[in-house]
Amino acid sequence: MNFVIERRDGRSIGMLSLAAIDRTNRHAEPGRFLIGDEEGARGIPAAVEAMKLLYELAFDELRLVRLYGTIAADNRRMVTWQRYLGMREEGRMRRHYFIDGRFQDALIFALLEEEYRTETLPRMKALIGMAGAT
Amino acid sequence: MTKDDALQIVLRALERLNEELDEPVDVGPRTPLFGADAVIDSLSLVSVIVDVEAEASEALGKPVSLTDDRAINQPTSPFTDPETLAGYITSLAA
Repeated sequence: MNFVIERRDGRSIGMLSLAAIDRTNRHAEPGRFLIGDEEGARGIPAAVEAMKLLYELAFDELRLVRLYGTIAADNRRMVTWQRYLGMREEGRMRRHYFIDGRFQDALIFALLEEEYRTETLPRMKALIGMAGAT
Repeated sequence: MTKDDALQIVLRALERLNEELDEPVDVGPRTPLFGADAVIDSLSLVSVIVDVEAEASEALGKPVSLTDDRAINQPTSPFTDPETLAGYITSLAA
């Protein structure tokens, strides 16, 4: 499932997807998360809101119990982001990506449904709420 | 902790963020962090929050959360700019 991230005024600013949906084992892989129009996303919690909608789809509508994915180890901002929003690091694949002319390890992250409800969702709501308070 | 101590923590977090950005942002006490004039996106803001929480917790000797109910319910978002965030951190120390 691929999605375009749009502002309320219809301006497209990014994309994200939910791939490898396994309804038997009830897991999937969020990915292709990209805010391409950084100017259009500035000042609004677009990334948080988009990910919240994707997680609601995964956990509430599709009834999945686990989301997982990999992040290049040097992508500190995304690693920090995912950890902050409750993802747990489960492993490391050495020299998995070739980015900017060199190999990087891939970190394996995952989020279980109960972690989403107790940690991720409150933090997402807080970030969105604070944006609204400015 | 004085407000200036807190401000330095926030500014250091922004300078660390700048090291990772393709287009560094101007860092100062009135740099807009969130809202219509914000110079960083929410991905970057989370990096700043995590760095500031870690350093402020260490400085205060107790856990500091910048995204709990107290922060959300402030009449003005603590993340308006570094000056406002520093003031909020100082209030947590009291």
